[in-house]
Amino acid sequence: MVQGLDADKAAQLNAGLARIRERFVQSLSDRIDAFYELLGDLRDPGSWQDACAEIRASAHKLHGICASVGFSKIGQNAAQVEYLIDGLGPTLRERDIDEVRSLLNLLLDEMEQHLDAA
Amino acid sequence: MRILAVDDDELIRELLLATLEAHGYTDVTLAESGEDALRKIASAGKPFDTFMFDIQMPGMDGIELTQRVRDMPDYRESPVVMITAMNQKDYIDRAFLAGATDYVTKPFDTTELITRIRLADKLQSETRRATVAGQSQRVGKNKPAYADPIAIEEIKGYVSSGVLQNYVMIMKDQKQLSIGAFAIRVPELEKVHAGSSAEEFAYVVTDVAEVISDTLVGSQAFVSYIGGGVFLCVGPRRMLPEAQTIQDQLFTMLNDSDLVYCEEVPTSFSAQVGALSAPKILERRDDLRFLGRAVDNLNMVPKQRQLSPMNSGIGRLDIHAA
Repeated sequence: MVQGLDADKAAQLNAGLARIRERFVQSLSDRIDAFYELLGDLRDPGSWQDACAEIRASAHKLHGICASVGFSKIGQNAAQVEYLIDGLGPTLRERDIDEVRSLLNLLLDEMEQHLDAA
Repeated sequence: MRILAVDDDELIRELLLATLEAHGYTDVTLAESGEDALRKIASAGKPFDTFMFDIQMPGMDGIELTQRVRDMPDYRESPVVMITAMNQKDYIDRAFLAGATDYVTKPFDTTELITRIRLADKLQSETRRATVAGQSQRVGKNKPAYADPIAIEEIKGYVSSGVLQNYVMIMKDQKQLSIGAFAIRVPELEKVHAGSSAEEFAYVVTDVAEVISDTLVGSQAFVSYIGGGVFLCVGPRRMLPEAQTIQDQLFTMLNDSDLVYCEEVPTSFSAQVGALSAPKILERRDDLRFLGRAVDNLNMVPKQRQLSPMNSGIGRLDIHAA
């Protein structure tokens, strides 16, 4: 029962949330592929800035939606990636990129587990 | 209630729509960007009542969108609820400075979201009532009581009392417990209220609010007039000026007739600055008693000696030891 709603409205909301959750799960595969592509871009120091900006933007979106559709852990991992990149200085160093890679791999592990379970 | 919800993430838009519709808000328009939102506002036959904006979007972000909406006469006072994963203080401050009335952080749960929309609805109703009352007051139909707040517009850092409370709740949500509040009373406003029209009184209070806001420039503080000649200020404790400094500056600026001028009641002005009050760690997010304590602290400030225009240039100020 959703707080403050009668049974019909609660059922309507729960059905809506289930549809959004299903669409989110369907989107996981594409999101994972995009992250792997960006991980590849991190091999080239000339692409670090752009790749980090894109990784941050995608992580930010995951952070915003995941807990609302029942995937809190993915959201937490995504927030860690987002905050790490927010905290990086203007000049990226190899050590920074290693940290980004490391957290992004943790996020990918979490996403893949949910994709496998779906 | 007509709602415009703006987010670049399709799933978030769907989530907002599903949540709002299930709670009876069926007149919802969705936009995928700031630019799309402006187009939808321009083509709306009937104005929207409430806005929900994401902050971080490609192109025009939600903060700029809020400023653009606030520039439109129809939407100067409409609730704007920011819905965003950006939970740093800087973003929250910028959103409120741009004119946001509330702030919900993603990920959100549906109950929280609806609570904030209902608050926005309530704020909108109160604002409409205050605007209607203000309009009739300004044409002299009825004068507000001295103890009542009045609507003040377009001063940087100035917010209504309801918005100030929302800001404080967000700060507490984000564990920004380093905020503090203090109150300023300008006692001579009572004399101005007694001897002037509603319109003149509103002008003088607006001038005083602007002076207070100028005094707090750089301190990231928000100011609100709560009636009875009292202004409530909230900001990060380490950034707020000392009471003595504020009083000195206020004394000079309030008595500069280019800044504060009352045609109908010649008077000099003084200011009492209360001690700083801070939220307590175990207080709940919606426990705003520290704002009340800030106002209560004014009662510990010794009564101001009335200044006459003859000696106002060198008048005495009562300094409250915080």
